[in-house]
Amino acid sequence: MMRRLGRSAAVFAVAIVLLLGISAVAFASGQPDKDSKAKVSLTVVMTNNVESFLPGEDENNNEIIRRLREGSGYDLKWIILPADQPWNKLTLMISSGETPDVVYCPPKNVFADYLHKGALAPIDEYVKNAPNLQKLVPEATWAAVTWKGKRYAVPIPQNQNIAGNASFFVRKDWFAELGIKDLVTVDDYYQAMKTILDKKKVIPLTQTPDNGVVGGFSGAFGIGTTYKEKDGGIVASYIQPEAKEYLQYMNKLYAEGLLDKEYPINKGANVQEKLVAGKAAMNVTAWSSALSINNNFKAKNPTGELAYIAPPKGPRGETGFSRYGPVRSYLFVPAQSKHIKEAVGFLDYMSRPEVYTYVSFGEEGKQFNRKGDDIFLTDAYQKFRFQMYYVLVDTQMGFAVRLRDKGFKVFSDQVVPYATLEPIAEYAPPMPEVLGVSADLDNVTLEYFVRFITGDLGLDKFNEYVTAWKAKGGDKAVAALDSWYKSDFKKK
Amino acid sequence: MAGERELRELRRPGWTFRFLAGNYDLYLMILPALVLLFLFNYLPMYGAVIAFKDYNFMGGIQGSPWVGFTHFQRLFQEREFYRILRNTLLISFYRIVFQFPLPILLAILLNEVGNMFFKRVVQTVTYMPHFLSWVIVGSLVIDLLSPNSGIINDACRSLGLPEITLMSKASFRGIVVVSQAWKETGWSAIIYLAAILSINPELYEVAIVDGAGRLRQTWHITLPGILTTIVFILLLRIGALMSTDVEQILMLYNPLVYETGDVIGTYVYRTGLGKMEFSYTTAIGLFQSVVGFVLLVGANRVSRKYTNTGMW
Amino acid sequence: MIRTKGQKVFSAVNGLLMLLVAAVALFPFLHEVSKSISDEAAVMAGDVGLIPIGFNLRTYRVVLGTYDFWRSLAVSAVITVAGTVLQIVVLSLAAYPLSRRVFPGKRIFLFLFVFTMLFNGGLIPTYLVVKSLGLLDKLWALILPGLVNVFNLILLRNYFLTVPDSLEDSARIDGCSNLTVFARIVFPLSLPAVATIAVYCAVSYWNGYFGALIYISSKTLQPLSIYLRTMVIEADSQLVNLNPELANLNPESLRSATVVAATLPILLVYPFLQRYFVKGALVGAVKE
Repeated sequence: MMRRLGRSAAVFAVAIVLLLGISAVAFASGQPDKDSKAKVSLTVVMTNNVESFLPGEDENNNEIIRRLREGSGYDLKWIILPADQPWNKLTLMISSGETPDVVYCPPKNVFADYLHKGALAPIDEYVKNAPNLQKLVPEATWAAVTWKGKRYAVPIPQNQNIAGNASFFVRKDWFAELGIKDLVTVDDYYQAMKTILDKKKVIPLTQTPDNGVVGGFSGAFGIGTTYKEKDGGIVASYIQPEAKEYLQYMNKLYAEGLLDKEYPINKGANVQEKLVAGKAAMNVTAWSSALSINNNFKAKNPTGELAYIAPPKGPRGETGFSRYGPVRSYLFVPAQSKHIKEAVGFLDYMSRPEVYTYVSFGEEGKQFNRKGDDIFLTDAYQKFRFQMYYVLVDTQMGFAVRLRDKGFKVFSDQVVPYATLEPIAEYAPPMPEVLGVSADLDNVTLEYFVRFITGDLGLDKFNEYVTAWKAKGGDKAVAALDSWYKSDFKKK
Repeated sequence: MAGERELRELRRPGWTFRFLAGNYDLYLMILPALVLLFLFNYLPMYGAVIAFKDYNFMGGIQGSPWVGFTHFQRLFQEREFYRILRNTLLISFYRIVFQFPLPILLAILLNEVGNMFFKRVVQTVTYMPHFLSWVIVGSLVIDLLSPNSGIINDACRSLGLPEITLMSKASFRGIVVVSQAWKETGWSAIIYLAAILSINPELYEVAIVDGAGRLRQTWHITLPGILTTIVFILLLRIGALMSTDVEQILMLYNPLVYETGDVIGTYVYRTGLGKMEFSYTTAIGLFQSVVGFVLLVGANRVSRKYTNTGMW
Repeated sequence: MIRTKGQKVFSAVNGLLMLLVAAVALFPFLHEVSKSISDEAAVMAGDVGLIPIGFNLRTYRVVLGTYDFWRSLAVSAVITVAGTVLQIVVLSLAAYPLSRRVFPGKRIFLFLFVFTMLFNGGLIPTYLVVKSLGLLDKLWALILPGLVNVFNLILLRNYFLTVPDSLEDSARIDGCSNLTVFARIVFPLSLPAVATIAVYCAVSYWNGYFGALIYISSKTLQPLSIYLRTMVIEADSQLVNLNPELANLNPESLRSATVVAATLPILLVYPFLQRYFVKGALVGAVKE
């Protein structure tokens, strides 16, 4: 019996090794195009959009990238970062010597981090010879990527402001039932919520803690953006006296049961659950979430109605939500790349209208049709979905068409009028004093604000928060922004 | 007695050489594991030096400047350091006291079950929660403990007991330990079940003949029989005192319970998101490892003295 | 065997207790299964408990319907089987010398192994080593680095220690080499421990995620865990460029389906290995 065991184990082991060997060959990554000739090889790193390819194709083997290789004259290699912790992977690549040539990086603080670690190449001299890039990026936008007089990335201009941000998504049918009319001030909101609680016995307002600040109400009290203009300079909103007013208001809501008791522990899914199940009446919802909430809501409550209403005005008549900053994404070239000139040349190629139109929409007549100024997608476009991996230059038109095509426009249109607050700090160059501490400051704000709102910590201890905030470098951040604002920004 | 022949040999000179000559296959057997250990565990260890440098991946490990204990100082001077240290130690300690005995108990009880089929089914079922990530189990816990709609608090209210929620500083550590017990006890019991099987059944037969009841059998046979395993796992837990299961706490915590629930791992995660502070995080990891190591060595010594078994 | 009343009571209570423990343990998984086949709106409303509401296989169609799913399943299967077999072989070979009474250097070796349980070099150095061995973007990168699992090694060693020396000695007197003694006597008598680490390995390799995240770039080599998690992230995030199949799909329903799909295969491992968890090989072998 033991001998049999030994032998079968051996057979098994051999079989496994064979299987492994075979699968290593079978599962080997798709062969890149053999069309290299003597072209320069460029590696482009893109974030994951989680689209799937047609069977047999992958990111380096499909019709779009073949066209791009032909058209640009470069041997392109596309690398897609994992959806989870993508920047870890990029850092690993760079530190192990596999330097890419172009990186598509949406978050400003990641871009700034790489910049200040000396990982990026200045590209001014190459941009001079890039007419399409110059046409694409307005002069003012370059400020966001300029450091010590040099430009360190191509800033793709923001295109999402046509969608707005968020607003109060409410049970319009209940409002009608209870005779709640147009809500204008924060007091109106307060009264309405009280009525809802009394008469309907549901949670009037449910929210996730996010970074401790509830949009809409924050805008009403004048702290709708993290940094704002005040008295000719820049200040940090959350340590101003207005912030205390906001906290007092929110604390009142929580204490009277008007704000969900579970506010500190709510996650996105909980909030959606409560709306769909009819357990809550209001929520500050982003336009991107409204579609799926509404669909699920309608499935369960065919007669109910969820719609957006205008945010309230605060004691000084302020109102609104923040807009998006001027830059949608940063395209940078690592300093150790061997083809900086070609990389910028490639980006210039991608900025040609016919190229980005093709990448965004496909071929006219096949995947899209024009009607006047507008573009309509055909059914064939559905097979073209993976084009998102190649959209380095996303224009407003591209965004608008997708917005409409996927059904989000219905909701984004409703919230666009309310996104009126400019996030000033987003226009500033990538200053380490500001970007290096933004996460820390957010954490401190979250921690304290949630405790103030729930009453766990009394508002008389507000100074404790200010001290903690300063200890994390808040003062230095504000000083840097303030001096930039006074010297550079106001000139424009 | 066993091995005596070899023990006698030990006294002869030149013994080691003769042993090696005759038993070189032993060293060959351990070779593959040693090679892999060297390649994937020891070779990368040189990277731990970045805890003492200001690591910039652009300059590589060689090119980054030395900063001595700066990162450690920074850790010890953080406003939150005392809090996260205390919470880490306390939660680990509670885990040892409360969670550690449970799988042993489960294994022993399960072993007593007569019906093979029932036993197997229960065995398979109890380890199931282990497979679910904390994202899933965490949201279950959140649901159960919801102040508005959770069944646990419904029960508390009807029994007149105070509510237990995830927003309460006082209950948080208890919730963490209990929920992990729920998730991991079945899985951790597997190893004890296997250990129980190594006990010579004749010992039980002799004990039964002598009139020993189940309890005495357990105390005098089962427990000593699995002592090596128990000690092994216990020592590991002690070595891990400074580390905690971060994923779980990340799912369950919120600012209201930072005071009792924020641990070293969650603090590092929260403050390090998006930042590339490899030196700092390595320094913290090193700190945790060193403390754990010291504790492990001490515990191992104690265990060898009193129970004759240990990790080495 | 005649059972006393006390024994009967004990059995009954114990049985009930085990049933309770099993029910408590089963509950989260059943909840997930139930959510995955329930009507999505009901799931989003949080109404679904252990009993599904409605019947909706859309999530499974989405999860199981792509070629990518089955390929990543195959990748995971290959890694799991290969990794488990290799680890068992390498570790038991190493554990045997460590369990011998006389083995010069034993304590040093043990220390070397245990030391790595607490200390490791960190992400970047390990990545560099893997890269320099040419393992990047190969399945071996997901198998080899974690192969020497010291916990499993010590487990095996402890079990080998329980094999009576007399058995080994009699084999040696017959002229067997160490390797033969190990393969013919010690290993077969330690099947419960081997089965245990087989389960541990299998689960660990099957669920492996982080390694694949940083070492694998080719989509064709992604294991199941990555594939499913990516799908859930997509459904969760508010990207405007949603996959049309995932549009309007409740992320929670999707997550439940992925959990069930990812867990079911591995749950079958333990029952399959359970027959090795038996006593008995020792009985009658030792006649002092």
